[in-house]
Amino acid sequence: MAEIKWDKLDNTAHLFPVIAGESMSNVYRISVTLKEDIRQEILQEALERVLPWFDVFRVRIRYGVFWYYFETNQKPAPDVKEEYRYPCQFISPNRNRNYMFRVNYYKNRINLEVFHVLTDGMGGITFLKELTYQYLRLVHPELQEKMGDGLCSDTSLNREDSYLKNYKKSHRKGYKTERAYLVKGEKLKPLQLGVMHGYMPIQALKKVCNGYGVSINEYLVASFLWSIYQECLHGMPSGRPVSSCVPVNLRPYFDSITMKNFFVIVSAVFRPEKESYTFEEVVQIVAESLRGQINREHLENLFAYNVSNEKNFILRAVPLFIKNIAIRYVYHSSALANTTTVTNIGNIQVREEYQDYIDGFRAFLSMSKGQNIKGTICSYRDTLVFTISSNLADVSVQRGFFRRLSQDGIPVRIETNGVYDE
Amino acid sequence: MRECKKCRVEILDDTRVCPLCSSVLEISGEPGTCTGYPDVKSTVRKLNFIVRLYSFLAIIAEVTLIIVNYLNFHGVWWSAVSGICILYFYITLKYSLQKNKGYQTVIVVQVIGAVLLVIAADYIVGYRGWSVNYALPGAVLLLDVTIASLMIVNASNWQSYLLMQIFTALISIVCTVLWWLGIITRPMFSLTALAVSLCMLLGTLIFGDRRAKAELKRRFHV
Repeated sequence: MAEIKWDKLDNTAHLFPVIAGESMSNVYRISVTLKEDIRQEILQEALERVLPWFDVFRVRIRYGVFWYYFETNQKPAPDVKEEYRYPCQFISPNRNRNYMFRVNYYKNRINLEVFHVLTDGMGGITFLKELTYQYLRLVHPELQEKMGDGLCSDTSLNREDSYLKNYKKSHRKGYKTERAYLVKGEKLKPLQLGVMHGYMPIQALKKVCNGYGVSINEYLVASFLWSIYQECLHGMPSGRPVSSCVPVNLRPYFDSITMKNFFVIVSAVFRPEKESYTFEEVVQIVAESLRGQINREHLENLFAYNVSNEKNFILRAVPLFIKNIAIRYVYHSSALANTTTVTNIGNIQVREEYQDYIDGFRAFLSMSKGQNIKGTICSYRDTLVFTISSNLADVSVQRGFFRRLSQDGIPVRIETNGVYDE
Repeated sequence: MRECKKCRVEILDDTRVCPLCSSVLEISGEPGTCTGYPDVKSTVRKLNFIVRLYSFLAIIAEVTLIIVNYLNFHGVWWSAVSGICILYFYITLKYSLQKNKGYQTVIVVQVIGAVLLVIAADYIVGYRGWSVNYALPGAVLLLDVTIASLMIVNASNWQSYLLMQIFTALISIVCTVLWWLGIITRPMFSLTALAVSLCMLLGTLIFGDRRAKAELKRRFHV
């Protein structure tokens, strides 16, 4: 019998198995919508063909004496099912044939839900694209004739730990721990997650952003923080900042093509100290806050502190159950440092041959401690989708956000997952 | 097209009310299309109900037993034994069944829980040492038999029980230390448990060869 392959968790991944549970799943969803209804048996076959290529996904998580680790999962691919539950629910390491992701479908949409321990949004997108290509090749034999039956040449299967590879010694603590203003309110039922997608044309969005002199990302983050400032703080000063985690994909900065996690989190911070701010002021404050942090040196410092802890032999030799207590403590003491998270998956590029079959992509995040509302940006061709996921029954932040965009002249179309009607 | 005049957004859902502000939508022409989401109703887990029912019945039963014990007290608080038994089954329901834990963890936690239960029971009924003399090494032997059975059933992945074996061997060493400290007074059972555990571990390491070494490397990587 072949020897079982195993792999260490990347620097970010150490956190997720410790803090994940039913109330904080650390699962994100990326979906692709096709122009035709999904056939379950073919999607299952596509998954069975694609999965063996992706060692990052074909693993189970195991505990060692000092660290968790990945081991090749020798079981068949997980079952593809029609969507039947709320999105982004906890993926137990002891269910789902021990796989840390699930694939389901609804009408013409394929959903990939990934436990963050495996990979970040870039890795998820790569896997979903290959799964979709394979599915389309199986459904449309003419595509298979044209494209062959292998993976796309743009796809990377690289599994290096880019945090370790690009580590440079630094002793500065990168992440802030100052408490931020938190959005609170009546919660939805346990396991429920409210999802609201806002579709908007990229051209109109660009025009508005040019008017403010900021990027699309800066504008959307600022609008989200503005809506929290207006709807929750009622435009009043606050002793605590309104801040958003903004995950930054490090691959372009460090020339990495890894499929594993490789991102850091910067914070877009707005401190409502004076009586009132105009929207234009908030946009400029948020844009400056982000620009000051998104540079190679600062990003390097952010992950260097964490990696230096991992490289310390004394800390490495601490038994796992003690590490878990320490990690949980550090997480809980720093988790309240941000009001929300706005992540940008970016513009998803699809091979030209498949474009006519694909309608669009969407993505969103599950909730985490202190953060009851989050935003995810993702775009395909000429449409951008800003998805707001939340476990709060109140939708005033969503309302403030989408009204703000429409006030700026951006036509917005809204779709929800029906949770707010129940 | 469904439009909210207040929010100035188009709504793609099949609804007559704006999901943002609850205003009635203006409907004109063809409605926009979207894939939508399935109608998922929050299903209350059956197990949650069982846990609640168990908690309710357990509290009533224990309070009744304490009262009966108090009214007929003959020097032994036997209601404390029933109390810890009830607690043990509650932990079994909450931890082992409800939390989706791996079966290896469940086995170890259940056995440790059972040993603590019998030690407590031994103390409550007037300590005679049977819990540490027999129940503790008995639990080690039970774990050994369980591991051997699991290795046979899951023969393709037998090495995954190596950590459990090491844990069992360590517990059997603890039994020997307890004998040395004078806590265990009848060592025969403990020495048998030690011998069985160490033989099994040694056999696995020697016959397991490369796969056993690789498993140790994985489990103990620093």
